[in-house]
This record gives sequence, structure tokens and C-alpha cells, in this order.
Amino acid sequence: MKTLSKTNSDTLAVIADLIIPREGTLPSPTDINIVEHIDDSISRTPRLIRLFVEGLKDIEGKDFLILKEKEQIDFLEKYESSHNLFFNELIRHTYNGYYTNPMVIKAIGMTGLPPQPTGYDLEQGENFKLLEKVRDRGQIWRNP
Amino acid sequence: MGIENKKVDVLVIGAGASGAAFSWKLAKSGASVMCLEQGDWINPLTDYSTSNSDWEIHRQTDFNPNPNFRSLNVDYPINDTESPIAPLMYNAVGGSTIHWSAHFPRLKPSDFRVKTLDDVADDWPISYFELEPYFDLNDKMMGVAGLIGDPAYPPKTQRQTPPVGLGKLGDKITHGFDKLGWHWWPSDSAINTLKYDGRPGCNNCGPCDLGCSIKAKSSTDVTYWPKAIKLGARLITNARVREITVDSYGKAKSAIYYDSEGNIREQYASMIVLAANGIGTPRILLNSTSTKFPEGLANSSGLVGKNLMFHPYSIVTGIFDEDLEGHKGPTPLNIMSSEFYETEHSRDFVRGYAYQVVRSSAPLATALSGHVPWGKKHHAAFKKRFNRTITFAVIGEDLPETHNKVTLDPNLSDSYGIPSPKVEYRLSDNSRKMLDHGVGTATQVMMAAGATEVTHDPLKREAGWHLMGTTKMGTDTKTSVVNKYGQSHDVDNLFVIDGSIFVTAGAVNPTSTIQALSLHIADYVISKSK
Repeated sequence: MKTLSKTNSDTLAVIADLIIPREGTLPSPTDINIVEHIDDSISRTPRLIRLFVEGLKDIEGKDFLILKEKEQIDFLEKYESSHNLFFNELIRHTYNGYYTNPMVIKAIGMTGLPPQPTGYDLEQGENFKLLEKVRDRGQIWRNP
Repeated sequence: MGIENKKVDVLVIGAGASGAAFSWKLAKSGASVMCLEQGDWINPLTDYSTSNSDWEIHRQTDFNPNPNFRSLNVDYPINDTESPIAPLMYNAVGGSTIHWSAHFPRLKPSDFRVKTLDDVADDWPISYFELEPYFDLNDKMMGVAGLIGDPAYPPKTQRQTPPVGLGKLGDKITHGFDKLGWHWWPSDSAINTLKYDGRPGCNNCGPCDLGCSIKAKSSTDVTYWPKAIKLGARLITNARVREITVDSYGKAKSAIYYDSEGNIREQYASMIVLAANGIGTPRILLNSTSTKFPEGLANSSGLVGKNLMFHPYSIVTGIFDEDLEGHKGPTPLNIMSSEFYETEHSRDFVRGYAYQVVRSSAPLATALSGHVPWGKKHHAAFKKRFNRTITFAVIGEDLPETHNKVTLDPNLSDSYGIPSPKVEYRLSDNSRKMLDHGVGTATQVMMAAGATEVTHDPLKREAGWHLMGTTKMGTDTKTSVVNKYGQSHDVDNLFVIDGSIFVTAGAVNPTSTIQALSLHIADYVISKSK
């Protein structure tokens, strides 16, 4: 870890898995090492380092880790309102890591590959033929 | 003043859409042309993120279209706290064509005659038909995908490549237009759909806004610039212009700039041409004060920086109950509807708007759309939207108002201490009514196409792609800054060729018209130098 302590990491892991729960074939954030991803991405920005270290410490100070799951969710819902700035960053970084992970991208029905270099096959579409009707309406541009 | 460079015939400031076209045309005529560009070259093969799994995150960081968020060394900050629309731009060879979506519609004939037709703003001192040969030349140089026969335009010459494919998503939405009997057309795109001019056809990867690593998208670093350089044009990158100086006769003499190592240099030229966009150009002019021009260069009218126009956008999104494969194909589907483009006096606003159809958002953008909550409902909400949305960007004509303006911020500057611009903008009542009408009709199309739910954003903030009007063209020296050839009324060897010279905005993307104007101005300059 570049920035987060062991306790910070444990707390963040639990929060991330509540933000995006495991479901069916979709992995949980911790299944794809989200904590390492978040640690890496915040470590380049002093503002984010402060926000995460102080925010996680604050949550840890409220015995978050020993709460039951339902209590943790209730806690986070309240925390979202009272600490909007930090919570928004928690969500953004969790989503960032999750929805750019090849395993997740494959699980949601895509190839799991980035857009390039292969691109995609795109059907040309059938409805160009409907343009005949548009043409038949005649000129709609205004001639000054 | 610093290191003095050898004098050139023509000095262009800015290597984006207009600067590239103009430099090519002048270099072809045999003039010695130098271009100073604030940014650097981008290597499409190595510098774009779309071959990496984290490609979507780059929209938040180094490829954020907003320079205030991107904060690269080549950017300058903009105070946009008094504007509901954030100005967007990119600083590099190619300018904002690096991150554009390559929409390439032309302004329409009526856009040049709004005073005569609708008694608003001013007529342009030039017509669509005078620009037509330059539109055609520019289309050949850039490479345009499209389809002729659109009844919303005068006839055009054959497009260079066929239109961008509709795909499943395009078929779905065009049924909606068809049911209502409303206009739609595959709009011009500066994207090769087949191999053209040594560049390959698009492989439908999707995110044009993150740069095209295969060069199918026509940014000017891969279209005009290689040709201009071959003809002898010199392009200096990482050259940040501080000001333009004048001689004792009040003619433009030189540009003072910081080079890549921070040295101050002075480049002399017989003629100076500004192509730094609708915010960058007035910024340089307002920073160029002298005893002859205490209020800024070329500013005897007091209009430099005034009349700033964006295209205000409302965003309308329909959700469909089937997988539309919305990630396949260029994000801008490039279907455009001109059904409500022209003035209709029964409406409560004047002029009009268009819709552009946009494909579904990619996974991360879907998750961050504001409609996908965290917690137990997360996956269901994501699934409901991913690949199942179609979006309309309702683009309205924004009329010029002098209180919408670019000035210099007294407290903000770039890393070299050059004062930064401040943008003040208010959405007019006419524009608000126009966009509200657009949201209503766009919703009708979505429902006709089978949407199960439609949401909208009444005014998108991160949408100031089009920067226009801040050194307006005109015939009256009191009410305009430049003439129909982009030539300053005050300084006859100073020209402006970017979107700053637009008299009005039309309701389509401006780049095709900006480039046609720059080629038209180039022809004038060449004819005068003979």
C-alpha cells in the first residue's frame, strides 16, 4: 500500500463491498482488489490522500468494523449526508476501479477488452431506407 | 525583448481547426508561415488511453475536456464561476479537434441572415453560398462521412465516405422519428468510415472524445498539419503567447511568447493571425495593451471579449427495455434532426434548435450518471441503463448578448503569470424557452421509439465546447471587431480566423464553418499579397 494503513484498508474493503455488493456472476469490489486500486489512484493527489486517510480514520473511530452489516449500511447512509464530499469520492473511486476491471467488464456482457485496437463490428442498420420519406417531404431549409 | 526570431510573412497563433487549415493554405501559396501552439504534439499510437483497461478514468483526469480539471502544464485556468456552462477546450497540435466528437454539420443559409429573416442580432457580412466552395474544399481535406440529399440543406457534393452506421440503436430511434414524420438525417461527421487519404476507416470502438489512436477521426494533427509541414509551414509547440506588440504606426509587429524552456522570445511577422479559440483569442488581445491600444489590441469598438456564445445544451435520455448494443460505434451516432431548426412564429421563441443522437454510455459513465445508486439496488439500476439508453443533445441557437463576455481575471493567471480569462454568461429567456421546447419534442421522439422512461438535464454544465462571437465580424467598425475577411478594423495586418468571428451561432457544431471561414480568409490574404 502506498498511502493506506492496514486498518484503513480493512475498513475500505468492507465499505467498497457494501457500495457494490457481490451478485450472481458479478464479482465484489474486493474480489478484484479494489483497495489496491483506490490506494494507487489517491496516492498521486495530496487532497485525496488527506480526504481518505482522515475520512477512514473518522469512520474507524466510530467502531464501524464491529457493526453488523445492516448497521453498517445505516451508518453509511447517514454518513453520506453528513460527509458528502468524502463519500462522493469513495463512490467515484470504487466505481472507477470496478467498472474498468476486465473481469467486471466481461461479466456485464462485453468482451472485457478495451475499445482499441480491435473495436467492434457495427451493423450498418436497416433504417436508411426510411430516408426516402424524409426526402419526399422536400426542402425544409429556409432560403434567405 | 527576449530572444528575437527571424521575421516571417505570416504568424499564426493556435494549431487547432482554423490555424491548421489557414497554415496549409498559406504554405501552399508559397508564404513563409510559422504557427505557435501552446500545447504539444500527441502521438495517437502511444498517448491515447483507449487501448488500456482504465480508459474511461482518463475522462476525469488528463483527458478531461475542462482545462480547470485537466490542469496540464499546457493549459491555462479559466474563471467560470459566473457561468452555468463550463468552457471546454484542448491545448495541443490539433487543438480541440483532438477531443471532439467530429460532428461536422455546416451552418445553414438562414443562419447568416437572422436580422433580415427574424429581426434579431445581425446578419453576417458573408453568406452560406459565398462560403460553399470553402466548405467543399475543407470537406475534402478533412474527409467527411455522410449522405447527400438532406432536405435540411442546399445540395452538397458527394461525401468522402459513407455515413456512420446506425446499428441496432440507430434503427430503434429512427423508428421514432419515422412514426412522427419528423426530419432526421445521418449528419456529416469528420470520421473516415472507409479508408481515405491514407488514413483507415473507423473500427467503431466508441469513445471519439478520448482521441483516435487509429487516425480514423479527422483531427487536424492528422489531416492538415502533415500536409502543411510538407509545404514548408513551421510549427513551434509549447509556445505560449503572452501578447502581440505593435509598431509606431499601430501595425502588428510581433508576438511575445514563452518557449518550452520558459525563455521569452519575440517572433516578428508581416501579418499575425489569431486562431486560439473564442476564449483564447480575446484573452491574447486583451493582454496586448499599449499606448495606442490601452483597452486591448483591435478593441476600439470595445467589443473584444463581448457577445460570447456557447451552444446551450439540454440532454434528454430515453431508457429502453432491450440491449441496444449502444457501446458499438462512434459515441456520436451523428443522426441529426432539423425539424425545429428554423423560426416558427407560433412558438414563444425565435430561431431554433437541432437534436444530435448519442449512443449509450460506456460502463463507468453509466455507473457515474447519477442514476445508479450504491448498495443493494446498484446492479439492477446499472443493468436497466447499460447499453439501453439513447441520448439526445438538444443544441439551441444562442443569440449574442454583450453581457455574456470574456474579460481578464485580476486574480488568476497561468503558470507563467499571464492573466487568465474570466467568463460571465447568463442563459437568455429565448434560449431557455427554446431548450424547454426541445426537451418536450425530444421526449416525444423517445416515447414514439418505445422508451419506457425519459429523463432530462435542462442545461448541461460541462458542455461549453463551442466558443464563439468574442471578436465579431461586421461592416460597421463601431459594432464589430473584424471585417468579412477576419481582418481587424483597427490593425490591418491582424486577422482572426477562429470561432470568435461568428456573428451568430446557428444551432449546429461550428467547426466545419470555422474552417471554411479560415480558408476563405486565407484566399483573401493570398490575393492581397499578389
